[in-house]
Amino acid sequence: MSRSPEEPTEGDRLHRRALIELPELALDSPVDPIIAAHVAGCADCQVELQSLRAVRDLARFGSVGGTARAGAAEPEALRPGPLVWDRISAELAAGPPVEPGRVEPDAGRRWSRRLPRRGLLAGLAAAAIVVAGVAGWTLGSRQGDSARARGQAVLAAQPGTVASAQGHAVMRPSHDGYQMTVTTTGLPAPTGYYEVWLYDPSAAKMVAIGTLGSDAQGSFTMPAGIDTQAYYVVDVSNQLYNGDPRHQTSVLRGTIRTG
Amino acid sequence: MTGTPIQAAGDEESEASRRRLAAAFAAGQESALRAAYDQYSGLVFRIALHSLGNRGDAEDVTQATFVSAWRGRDTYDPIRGSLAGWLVGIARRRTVDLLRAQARTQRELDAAGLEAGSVELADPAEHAVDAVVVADGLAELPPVQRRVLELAFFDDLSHPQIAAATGMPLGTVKSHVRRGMIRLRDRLEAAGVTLT
Repeated sequence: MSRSPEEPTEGDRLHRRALIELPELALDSPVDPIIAAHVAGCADCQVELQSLRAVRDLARFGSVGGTARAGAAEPEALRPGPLVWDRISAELAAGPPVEPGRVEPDAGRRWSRRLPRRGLLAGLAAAAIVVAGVAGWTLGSRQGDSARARGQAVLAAQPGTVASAQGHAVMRPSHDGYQMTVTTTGLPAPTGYYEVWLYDPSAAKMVAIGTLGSDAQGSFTMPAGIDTQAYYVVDVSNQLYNGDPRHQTSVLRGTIRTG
Repeated sequence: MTGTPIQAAGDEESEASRRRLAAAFAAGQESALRAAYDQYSGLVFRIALHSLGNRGDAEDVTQATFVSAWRGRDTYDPIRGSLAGWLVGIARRRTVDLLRAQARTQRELDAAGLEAGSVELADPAEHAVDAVVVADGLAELPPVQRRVLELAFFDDLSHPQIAAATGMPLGTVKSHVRRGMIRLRDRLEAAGVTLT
C-alpha cells in the first residue's frame, strides 16, 4: 500500500494508469490493488468512474427494457416517413410559433433576426402549399390570429384498430373560433363510419365535431367557446349505424400540444 | 491494427464534412437544413421510436426537433459540440416531454374509467430515453467494439473471459472496452445528459 505522498511524477504515472483501468473498474473487473487504492482516494478518478458506471447502467437498463440491440429491424422502418420533411418545411414556412418553443433556449424569438434567404423561403412556401393541399389547410386565414394558440396532435392507433393506423390533427384559429384538420393513414374501411371527437379527460366528457370523409380526412369547425385547455385530447372512433350517437370504439387518439 | 491508416483517412474526411455541415447549419445556409435532415433524421427518429414505441409519435418528435433546431440555430455553437449530439439533445428533451404528457393523459384516462391508450409507459422517462441513446450509440459502434461491449454489459463476462471467447488478446479487449465506453459517454454528454 503506497498511500504515503509520492513523487509528483509517480503520482501522475499512477493516475494515468488508473484512467486506463477505470472502464474495468466500472465493469467490476478486478484491477491491480495499487490502482484501486489510487482511485478510492482520487476525486477526479471518482467522477470519471461514476460517469462510466452510468453508461454501463444505461446500457443494461436499455437491454432489459427491450430497446437495445435494436439494429435488427428493417432499415426502412427506422427512418421517418416521407411526409415528415414536408411537414417540417410547411411548419417553417408558416412562420414562428406563437410562443417560443420551451425546449431550446430562445428558439423562435430569434427567428426574426435571421430570416432565411429568399430561395429557401420560396422553396419552403412551395412545400407548404403541397402539404396544405394534403391537409386541407387554408394558410391565408392565419394572419391576425397570432394572439391565439394553435396546436397539433399525433394520433396513435388504439386497440380498436390495426396497429399501423395513425393520424395527425392540427388546430388553428379561424375567423370565428378554431378549425381542426384531421388526416389519417392506415385506417381500414370502417364498419359504419369514423367520427372525430374532442375529449376532456378530467371531466370524462366528449364532443363530436364531425365525420371523416372517404379520403380518411376532414376539416372541422370546433364548437364556439369550447375550452381547448380542458378538451385537449383528439379521438377518432368507429361508429356503427345503429342509431346510438354515443362514442363507440376508439381507433385513434392523441393529445393536442400547443405552441 | 492493420488497415488503421485507411480507416483514419476515412474518418478524417467524414469528420471534415460533418464539420462543414455543422458550420453551414449554424450559419443558416439554406441547403444545410435539408442536408442535416438527410444525415441525422434517422438517428433522431430511432431514438424517439425506441423510446415511444410508436411511429406517429416518433415522426412528430422528428418534425419538432428539426423545426426547433432550425429556429434555434443561433444557439448552436459548432465549436462546442457535434451537430448530431445537439440534435439528439433536442430530440431527447422532446421525447421526454411527450412521454410525460402521455403518462399524464394515461393517468387521467384511467381515472375517468375509460379505455387506456396503447402506450407503454416508461416510468422514469428521462432514464428510458437516455438508455435508448446508449443503445443506439452501441449499435453504431464498429462491430468488434460493439461485440466486446455487449459481452461485457449483457453477458457479464470479465475481460479475460471476453478474450477467451473472442480469441482476441487481452490488451485488445481492454482497449475496445475503454474506447467503446468513452464513445458512448461522449454521445450522452453531447446530448446534454448529466452522468453524475
